[in-house]
Amino acid sequence: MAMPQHDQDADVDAGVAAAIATQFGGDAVLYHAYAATCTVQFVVDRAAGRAACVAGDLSALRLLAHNLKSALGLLGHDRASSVAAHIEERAGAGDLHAACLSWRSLDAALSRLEAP
Amino acid sequence: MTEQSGPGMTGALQVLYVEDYAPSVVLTRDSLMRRAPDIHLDVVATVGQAIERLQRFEAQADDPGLAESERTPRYDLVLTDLNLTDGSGLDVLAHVRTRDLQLAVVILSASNEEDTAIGARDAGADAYIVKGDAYLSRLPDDLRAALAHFRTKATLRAYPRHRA
Repeated sequence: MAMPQHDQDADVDAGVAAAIATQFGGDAVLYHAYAATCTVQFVVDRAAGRAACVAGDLSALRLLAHNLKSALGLLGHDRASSVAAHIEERAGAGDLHAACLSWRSLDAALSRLEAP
Repeated sequence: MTEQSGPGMTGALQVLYVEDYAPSVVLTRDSLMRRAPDIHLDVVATVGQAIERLQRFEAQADDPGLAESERTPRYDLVLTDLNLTDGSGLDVLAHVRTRDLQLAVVILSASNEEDTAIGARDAGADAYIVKGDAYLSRLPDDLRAALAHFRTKATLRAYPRHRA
């Protein structure tokens, strides 16, 4: 069963707060500057992910998922980071179908992060 | 025993930074500007670009007449991501060690797999940093420690020649 939206939002807020405290040493300005850069990059990444799935380019998809795993983890979006890790693993194993199935989920998560 | 001193221990540090993911470049640069403004990054995005810079770095040592505009910085250290578009940070490391360039090399990775870290160390990396909790706040100290590690190794290698 899907988690209610307000619970998801609370999860995200807690993840962001934890990320600022642990990953950024309490520096919220640095965190938000990084988040702004990522928001721009995610538009590019979503297009690249879709293109990689269409082209069956596992290598590109694996590297993209690897970068997103790290970026989303730093931002405190642990669920999305876990999905990216799964895609990286599946792409590395040559499983295009599973990797691209999970890409749809990650693409949706990234689109929510792009929203103002 | 001679105490380690000079550039890199406490002073300015010139770093060739190899990273292809734009947000990582911005984050590392912003973080270092706040925590360690004396650490300067020269950023390239690919293994190919890194090797081209390192070839220029190597060549200019033998060419004092080279114009200032054609010079690369006098690097102290190479900081490279492990997974890059056109290869691996280990390829950059291999180039540095094969050419015996006097540079510390630090591998930066999201992977905390022990085998990968050991492999990088065995290949001559001076440090392997995982992008985990609080790595940004530790990065300036980790870079300086890696440079100290490299210089200690170089001193130990040179010592028998001094005695001969």
